[in-house]
Amino acid sequence: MFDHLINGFSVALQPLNLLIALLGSVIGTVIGVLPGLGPTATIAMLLPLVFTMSPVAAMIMLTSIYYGAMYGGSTTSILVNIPGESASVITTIDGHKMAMQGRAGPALAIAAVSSFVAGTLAVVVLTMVGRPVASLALRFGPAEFFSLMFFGLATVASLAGAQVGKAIVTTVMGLMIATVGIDLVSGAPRFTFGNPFLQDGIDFIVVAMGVFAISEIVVTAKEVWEGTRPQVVQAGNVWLSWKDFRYSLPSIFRGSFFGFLMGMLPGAGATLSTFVAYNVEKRLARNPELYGTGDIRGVACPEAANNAASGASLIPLLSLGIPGGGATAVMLGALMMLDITPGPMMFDKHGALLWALIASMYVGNVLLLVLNWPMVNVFARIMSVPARYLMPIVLVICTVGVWSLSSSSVDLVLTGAAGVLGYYMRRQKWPIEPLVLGLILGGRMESSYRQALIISKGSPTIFFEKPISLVLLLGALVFLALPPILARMKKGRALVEALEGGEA
Amino acid sequence: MTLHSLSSLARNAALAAAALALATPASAAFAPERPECIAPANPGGGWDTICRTSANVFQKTGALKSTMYVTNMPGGSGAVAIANVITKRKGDNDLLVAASNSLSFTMAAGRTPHTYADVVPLAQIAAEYGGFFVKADSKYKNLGDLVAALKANPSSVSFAGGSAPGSMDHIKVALLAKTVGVDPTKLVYVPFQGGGEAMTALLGGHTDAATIDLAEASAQLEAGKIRCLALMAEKRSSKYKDLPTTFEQGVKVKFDTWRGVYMAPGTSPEAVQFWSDTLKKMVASPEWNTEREKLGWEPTTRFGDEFKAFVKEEHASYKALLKELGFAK
Repeated sequence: MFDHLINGFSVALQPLNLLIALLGSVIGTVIGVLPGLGPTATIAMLLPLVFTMSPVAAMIMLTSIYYGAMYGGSTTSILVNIPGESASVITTIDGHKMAMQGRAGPALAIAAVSSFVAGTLAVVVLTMVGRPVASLALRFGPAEFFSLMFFGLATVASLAGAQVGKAIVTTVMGLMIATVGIDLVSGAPRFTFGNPFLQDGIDFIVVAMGVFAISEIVVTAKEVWEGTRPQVVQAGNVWLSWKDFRYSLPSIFRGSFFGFLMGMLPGAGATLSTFVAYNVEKRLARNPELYGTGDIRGVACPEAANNAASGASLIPLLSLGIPGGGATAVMLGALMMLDITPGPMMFDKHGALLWALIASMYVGNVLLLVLNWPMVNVFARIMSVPARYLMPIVLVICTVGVWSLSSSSVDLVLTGAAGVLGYYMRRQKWPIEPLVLGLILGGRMESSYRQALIISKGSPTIFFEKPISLVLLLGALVFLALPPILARMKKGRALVEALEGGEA
Repeated sequence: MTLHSLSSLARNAALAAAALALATPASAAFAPERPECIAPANPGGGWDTICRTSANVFQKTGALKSTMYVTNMPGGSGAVAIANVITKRKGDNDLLVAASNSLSFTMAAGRTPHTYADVVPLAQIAAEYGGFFVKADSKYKNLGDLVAALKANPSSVSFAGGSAPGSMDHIKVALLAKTVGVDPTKLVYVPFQGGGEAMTALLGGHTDAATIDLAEASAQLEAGKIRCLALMAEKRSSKYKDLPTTFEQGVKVKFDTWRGVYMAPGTSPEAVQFWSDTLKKMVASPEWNTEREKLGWEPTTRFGDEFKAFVKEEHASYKALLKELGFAK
């Protein structure tokens, strides 16, 4: 295996391939930073260029764009409270708070460091156990997927604290938005009002740009107008301190673990893993109340998770020929045009290419860290740009991003509507993240549920008979039931102590 | 330069242009100025491949003077693109739009108010075979085993497919059922988001069989992870010659996924002729056939009136079939 890897490095480190990896990383970072523009569209746009390259160079280019985008995704989450990708939604919670406290530098730096650590860990695992691990993805059928999504939603709802009711309501709103479009299971259009644009459903980006970006811009405008905009505390330390790093390290490792595990599964793996990782972190922490107030671990853990997931999603693509999402689907198409059919035969038939690709992922992660590190300082300064200049620019970028999805004015109208919704949700202190998660998971959760029931001929016991599914459902139950029980036990103990204290 | 000389310059230029226009007879060779191909889906799928591969081959063979642009216009399985082409691109001689039976199903199910009669069907440039696949260790060894199981109990075999009921993959298995005298409404068809997910469900043992296109199954076939019970065709595949067909196993049912293009309404006969000739040349070129082989597409083509008649007949038969299955009124 190490011979293969060394051979791979000898290809990946050739000047041309190195240059291509660098180019891909830069492109990836840029599109990751720009909200709305994602790796899927970018890879598709670059396809004609890619076909003029050798297969190795082409694959290095596409994959470096893909994981480069995950590095850049956190930047706008932290600086302007607008997630660049669905997998960076969670990063807004603590990331933007840190930026407002003048700690944009450390937030951006830890995002880069955790992306690097997680990205590298994912490649190491991919190198060592890629093939055996891939078969795990096959164990996930419709029943298992439904239970996984349910588990994901349960962790979110359980950690909204006193706001559990509001979190459930907004999750359901997200699920409802996800029902728009052609129903996969019956083929019937739902809530499309005869508009063909709505037949494909409402894209996550359309809603996210509204509820996050437009509402943020309106809130900022209102604050500037009324003169109530909180002053950004000027940063003391721009760089990441050793103390911060050590404090976040366990979260980085745990985030990588969840990211890797869920990233292998097709569908919303990367995004779901950030939600689950964040909430598990919060549960494990000795001081959970610090999460959501600008805790650096709240940036480290989701950023580690999404990068580990993007590395892991290449495992089913390369060793099974199964694309996990939009970007990997386009990559699969590109590979087939290059006369390479990813699948079980990949290691035997295209071993040299595969190892060169794996080696280039090690290189790419280092390149991205080197690239992003000096950018931390540059981006952190964006916080001192007055809002009256910054926000119009953000508005333009977001509009272009939404337009780039399908060049449809319907999308822009929907973004505007989502913006109004997001503004009122913020004013009434309703959490926005569960809405987005519900929207992302809703479509797949519903179709998985119904696929499972078609397979079982209508019997719901299928969710309990499959071991993985059962474990996930029990896990969801624990997450939902534990907080009230613990709270009661604490209260009870306090009462007992108070009584005992009274008797003594 | 005075104002006067400027205006006389402009007049001369206008005269020259008019003379040029007069000198060029209307029947002279048409040449697109800004050739464009609309793929009515996101990048990566079959429609996108039609546009990008054609553009690629045109570039290699020098068939067009300028590069053909590819525009992705996803939405409603082709419904958005056809509405856009009819209302906004009427008479656009430079435009091709990718199509396949998937669009025919959108029309037959009434999910778009338009049909092929509203546009100019141009050509079918290739076809792809669909088939029935099971895991390598499945108890179904050939099509006969599968048919026997369906006849004994139509609900005893679950099929994974990559499209919604009432569309491509579902119709394949419904046609099989109809041909062997099994009630197609009693089948267990599990729809997934694309052939890749359907394949995952099959490999994981979550369904008994999969009904998908050959290209989507080829990697697993080569690795020996799955078995092809039958391709829905009369003749064997030109690339995978050892896969059995339905016809040779005595079940007379076929289903091609065709790949083709249409043009906007109101386009000039010269332009239609030009594109038809250009595509005829393309499908005969070695550059195209290399790409086509890679994609696992068959060299089945139809042009002009033959293609028009084909899509018209297809529309009628899909409509009748969907009505029978309860997916169209």
